[in-house]
Amino acid sequence: MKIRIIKRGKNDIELELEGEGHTFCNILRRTLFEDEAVEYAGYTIDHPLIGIPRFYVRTNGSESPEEALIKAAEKIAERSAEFRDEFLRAVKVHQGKS
Amino acid sequence: MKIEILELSDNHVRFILKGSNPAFANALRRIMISEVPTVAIDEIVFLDNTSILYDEILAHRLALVPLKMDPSLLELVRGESDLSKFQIRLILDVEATDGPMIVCSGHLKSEDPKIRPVSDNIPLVKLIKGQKVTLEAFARLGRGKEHAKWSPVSACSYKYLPIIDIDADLCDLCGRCAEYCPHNVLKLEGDKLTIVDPLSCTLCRYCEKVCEREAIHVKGDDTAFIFYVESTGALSPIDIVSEAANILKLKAEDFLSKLKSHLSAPEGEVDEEDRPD
Amino acid sequence: MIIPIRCFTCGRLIADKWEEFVRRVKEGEAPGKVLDDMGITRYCCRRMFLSHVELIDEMLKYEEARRREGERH
Repeated sequence: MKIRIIKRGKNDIELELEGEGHTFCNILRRTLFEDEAVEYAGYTIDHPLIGIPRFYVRTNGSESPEEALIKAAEKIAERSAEFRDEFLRAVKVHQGKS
Repeated sequence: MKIEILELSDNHVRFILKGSNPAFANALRRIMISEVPTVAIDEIVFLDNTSILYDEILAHRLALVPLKMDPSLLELVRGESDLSKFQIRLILDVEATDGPMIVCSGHLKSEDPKIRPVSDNIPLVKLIKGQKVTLEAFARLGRGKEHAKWSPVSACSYKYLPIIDIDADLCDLCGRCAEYCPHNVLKLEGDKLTIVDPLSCTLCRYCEKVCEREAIHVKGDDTAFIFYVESTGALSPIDIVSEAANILKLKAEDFLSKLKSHLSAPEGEVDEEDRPD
Repeated sequence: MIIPIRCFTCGRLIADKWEEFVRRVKEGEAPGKVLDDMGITRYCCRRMFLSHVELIDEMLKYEEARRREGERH
């Protein structure tokens, strides 16, 4: 992944995430929505094959957009780890049953 | 987050994921399809081919043969964007000396016993007496987003957990919903309408349509998902799901570290080492 | 020509089950039942079996004739 900052406003940021697609952008957007300080989060991919996603985040000022992004990414990492551990635990439970 | 395994076999797993959201479920699904790496034949040197299939047709067939891989390879390449450092050679050398024969995936000789075709009975080509195929195939690691032959799953999907609401005051027990349901989710027993198999409901809402009194309502719970993952045989379904979670975690961590280095470095002096060649 | 390795739509491996399918259908079993029995449940995979014509055997006959022609000369 390569990040390029296109624009940094007072409470908003626009960045390009080269090498990513809907897989990561959509979950990042959805996770940002959980943050009260985030007013707007969205992305576009100009072309499904060659487009580089452009991500836009705006906050209400109580935290910087970078902070919101960092918080969201940490949440995703945490949840992925939780999912993996919980899945492997469930497999063990299931194998114990049969 | 809570997970319950419903079915588990050598090549498929069905589980319920509760307490999540559609974006997370979808990210996992997309990663399983297009980003969990597997091994597939990628380059072939034909030394001899007198069969009636052209080289490129045979090459295409060979590429699609799923190869069972060693799950420890996943750890080796985790987080790497370049997978080209791994390569193994397979050799196919057959001649129909006495009468017609079917060349099968079992005739492929792999130099690494851990990486071999999922099944030995996949017909590759048929030969008559005197015909010959000799080739060297190179199997490489890759990802489904580059070519579907590298995708570890054949079917990989999720659906919302169905919520079926029957309003007992309105229901007159006509039994039409049970009769019309294509998956036999409902059953009318005596004077009671019971939901016998809620998990196989596909949310088609046909029961709502045939109910004249609007007594039944079906909706999906968008915090709970029934996942179905079917492996091609290259990796075990458990490895596919847990590796997908690992990849998602790595993506988030990669994003974090790149973002943080952007914030600490002055404008225009970042990520010099990441610049693509 | 020859049975495809995988289902065109979902990518499931099907080629290794073709011989068994043909054998059992020839022995008089209903094709649908055989597919159910072999665990081919999706309609995309099922049509691969039901609509396939194994032409390679026909093509090989011409090769065979050509080979015999060559032996005669």
